[in-house]
Amino acid sequence: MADKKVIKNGIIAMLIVFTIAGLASIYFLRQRIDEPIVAGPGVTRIGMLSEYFDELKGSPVDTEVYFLESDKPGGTMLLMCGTHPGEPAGFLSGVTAIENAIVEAGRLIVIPRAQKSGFGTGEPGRAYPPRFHIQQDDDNLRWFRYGNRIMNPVYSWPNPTVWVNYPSGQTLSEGETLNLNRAHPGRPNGRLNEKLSFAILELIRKEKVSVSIDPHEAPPDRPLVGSIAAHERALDLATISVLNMDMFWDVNVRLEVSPKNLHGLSHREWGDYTDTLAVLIETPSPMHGPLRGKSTEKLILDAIDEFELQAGRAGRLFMSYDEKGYPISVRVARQVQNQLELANAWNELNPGEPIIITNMPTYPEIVENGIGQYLAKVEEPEPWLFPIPGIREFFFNEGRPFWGYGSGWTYDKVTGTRPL
Amino acid sequence: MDIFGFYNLIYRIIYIYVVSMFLWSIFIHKEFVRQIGYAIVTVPFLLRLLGIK
Repeated sequence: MADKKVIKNGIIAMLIVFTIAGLASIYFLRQRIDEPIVAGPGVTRIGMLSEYFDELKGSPVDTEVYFLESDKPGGTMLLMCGTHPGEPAGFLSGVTAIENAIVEAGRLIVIPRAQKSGFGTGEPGRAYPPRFHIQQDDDNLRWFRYGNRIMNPVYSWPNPTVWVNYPSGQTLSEGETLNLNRAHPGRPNGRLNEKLSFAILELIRKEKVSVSIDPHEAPPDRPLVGSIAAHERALDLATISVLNMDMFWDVNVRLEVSPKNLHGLSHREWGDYTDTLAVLIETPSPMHGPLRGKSTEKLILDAIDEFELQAGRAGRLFMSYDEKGYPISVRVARQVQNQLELANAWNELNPGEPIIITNMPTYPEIVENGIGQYLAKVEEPEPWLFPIPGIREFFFNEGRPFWGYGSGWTYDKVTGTRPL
Repeated sequence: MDIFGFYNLIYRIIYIYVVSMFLWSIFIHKEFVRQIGYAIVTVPFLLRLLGIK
């Protein structure tokens, strides 16, 4: 039997670690506090996704659905943002629509946080800042969370070694199991992620959605960046929107046809399993890519990264990229304008079922004034995140631990040369 | 409970066993450094069991 000293030391060891774990737990749990979204003048009803699939009721993946409806009949557009909570321009385009849009004909349905639980957690090993801030007038800041690419794993574990998409049978790595954009079309008796996908498809079917948009962001080194991916039935729609983006706003958006043999993706499965016209929009953001340097709030907001610049000089990127980067306002402006152009294209092709969205800022307005000008002012202060203020910044300042692991200056000391 | 919930239950039982063994190890090893080491590796398993991270 252990002597008294061993027991005493053991209790001390446990207390030290449980104190650290307790403080970290408070931080992790407070990351789950939702950022405020203000229902704008056009919002007629706020529902929940579980209205379309009962099993999600009370589950951590159930999420808000904002309805912006007009008295005049017309088509229905779905904006499903936040599929990947680490791609903020898509999410912010949905928030902009909720807080500004007025629908003159037809309906607009916005799901701002499709993968809601993913907003409440970071991605292990990637040192993401938990929140980012958008400057508004004067000293006003709006806060938003920067989340994981996938569902919070605490709600659905263990993962299988190989993820098999239903019903295609396509296999992917274990890491995609909780990725909503690999789970479509979902199934009612599947994993929680598949149930979430199924509920979204039920919404599309029951609300007879005409156009469904899934806004994303991609690192500039990924082939889909700067493009709009469209199901083959949505090609006319997407083509008109791309032409209008180029002609009226001088923004080059590449058109990609959704591959028929790549399953689980929204632009493929929504089009195959419902009557909607499905498209996915990608804007550039190096933050969640493999090439980027330090993962800082600044990188989320300006998308300027030295490694992406090097890759660009080597001709390895899939869209133009220079020292100006892509500020968050430009990325949100691209998303918002492309979504509006998709509505215009729908109206051109289906004049009998119009979707007329007004009171939205245009591309040059957002670029010039900043996206903060078009977000509502929120009175309540930002909730605190960590019980000891400043300790996270002390130990992990901008993704760089204070002992220098992985940082430039350690490299400098050893080699005497400047880091890349 | 569906099949995925059943898998989750099995893993929870395994994790409870692992956490118990780590906690036991803290009190059978005499070196303080080892005790701290076992306490540290307990944390991620414990946080997952509690549904925190």
